[in-house]
Amino acid sequence: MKPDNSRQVAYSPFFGLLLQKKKHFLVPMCLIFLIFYFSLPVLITLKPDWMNRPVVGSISIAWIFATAQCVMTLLLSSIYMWRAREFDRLVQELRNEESEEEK
Amino acid sequence: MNLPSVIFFLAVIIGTLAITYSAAKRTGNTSEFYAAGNRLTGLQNGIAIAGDYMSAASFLGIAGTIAFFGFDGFIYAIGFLVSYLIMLLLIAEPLHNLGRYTLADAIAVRFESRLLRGMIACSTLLICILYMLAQLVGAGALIHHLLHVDYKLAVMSVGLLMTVYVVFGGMVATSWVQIIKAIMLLTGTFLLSLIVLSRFGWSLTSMFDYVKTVTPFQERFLQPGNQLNDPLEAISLHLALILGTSCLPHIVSRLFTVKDAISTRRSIYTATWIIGAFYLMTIFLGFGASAFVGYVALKEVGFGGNLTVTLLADVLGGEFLTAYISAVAFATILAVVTGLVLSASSAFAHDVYSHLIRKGLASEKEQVWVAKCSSVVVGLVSTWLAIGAEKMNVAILVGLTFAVAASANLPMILSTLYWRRFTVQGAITGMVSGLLASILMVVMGPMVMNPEDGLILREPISALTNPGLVSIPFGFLGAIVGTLCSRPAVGADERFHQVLYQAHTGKRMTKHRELERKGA
Repeated sequence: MKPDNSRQVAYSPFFGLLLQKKKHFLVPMCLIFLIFYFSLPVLITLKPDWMNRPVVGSISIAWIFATAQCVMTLLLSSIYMWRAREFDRLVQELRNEESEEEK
Repeated sequence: MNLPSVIFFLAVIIGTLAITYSAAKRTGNTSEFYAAGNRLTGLQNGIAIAGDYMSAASFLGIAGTIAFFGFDGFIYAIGFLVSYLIMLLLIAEPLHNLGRYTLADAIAVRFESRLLRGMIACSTLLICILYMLAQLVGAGALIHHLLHVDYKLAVMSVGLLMTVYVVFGGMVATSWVQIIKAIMLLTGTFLLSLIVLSRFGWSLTSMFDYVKTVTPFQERFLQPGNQLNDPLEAISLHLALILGTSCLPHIVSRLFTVKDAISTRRSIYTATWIIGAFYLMTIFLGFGASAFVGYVALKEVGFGGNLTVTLLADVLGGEFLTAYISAVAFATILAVVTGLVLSASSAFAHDVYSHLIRKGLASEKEQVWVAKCSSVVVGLVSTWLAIGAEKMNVAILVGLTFAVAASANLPMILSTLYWRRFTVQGAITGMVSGLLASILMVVMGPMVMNPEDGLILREPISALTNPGLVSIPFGFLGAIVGTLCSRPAVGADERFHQVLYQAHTGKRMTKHRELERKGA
């Protein structure tokens, strides 16, 4: 099966889709974690009193916020692991398509 | 020197040498030597990455910083961990799919420039040697303190061991040394954390309530700003931490030890969990030290807080626990320097010798031989430098390492993987400007220029201790300006498409498809 549209050859449908899906997933993810990460030093600078407000006993918002960075890292990487299965499926489709073409 | 310490230290040495012996049969070809024959599983490689990453600086240093400064110490732990997101999301899989043994291999798929390969090899060597020097100087002082052996002897024995592991065991032995070290480190940290927590009746809040009453900072101990009181300095440190750590060469070379992109992803994911768990536990170690060892005792021992964890073990568990924790620290140092020797020697043997000098004509046997010789040279040179650098401030070296990794390597790697218009000239100017900016900023900063005890006795020109805030943008700027001032090579667009294809599918574009695309 040969795709006749030259544009589609340049970006095999599966590969184009793969890149597009990756982009739509990775760009927001990176923005989210960079903003969340740098909000920690920014908040420490701008709102020190708010950050030092105790929540449970002497544990302040700053400590909870900092620990939340760990949680965020583990959460986002788990989401990525889950989404990446879809990317793997597309790569597999692409390979199947290729081996068919080569026949 | 006491009996338990001697037993634990000997156990570490004998165990790791046994691994090296059994791995020695399998270092006959380059793939085994540099990449453990791609046979590691995602889980094994993940533990090994965590082992490579959790250096003595983090185990001993971060716990010490938390014990001294409270919240600001924890910031380092957070930065080290979050940087793994950049690794996982943007860098790990594409680099694995493109490269064979080294970072330069991966970049060469896009740019076949000998100059660029040479520069990447040089920056790898520079980062490895600087970082190794920092670790060795720390190791020497630590072993000197723990076992009461001479500093020179301590550095020489660590230098000898790391060289033996790499020369005889290659990547296989290096990986297993990392895995064992990571497991020892985690169990040791976990044990200490449990003991600390049990002393507070398993209550987090009573631990927090208590520590703020025992340090000179009092209430302020739990608040940010005890060490990092300048916001610019803080942002600069954060930038270097999250951008630099994922470009350290000994971590990058671990990406090539597994068979496919899925295992690479699993490796980084596993490493993230281990590192996350470890850094969360550093809170207990640090707080435990300030609560039970006490600020005055910590300060008296001196040593920049680097003995915090061993002191804590002594107070909590006595001789036996101290011996175990000291052995863990020893294994930690050994493992990290071993990984560094391997990356440095592969940068020289694979990139400089095989590709630049012999132009890819060297036989497998010759390559492995050169790789082993260069490991010996790297081991000797860094040991010799470390002996001379006994009194040096290690923080300068570590700061420079991260700054160079973040400013010279990261802009080049990201642009190569994701920027269509990027050119080889851009890659070179990016690396040069990032490298120069980080060196200059360190030299002009307060760590080198200090009117009292600096290497250069004068007022610092730049107030930043951490150069990242200036040098990282310089690296990116260099890459952008260099690219825009140069014309893309003929067929550059085509080449980028192939790179994109290989990076995201793990497969070269087939000839069939390539021809069709050219006809289009």
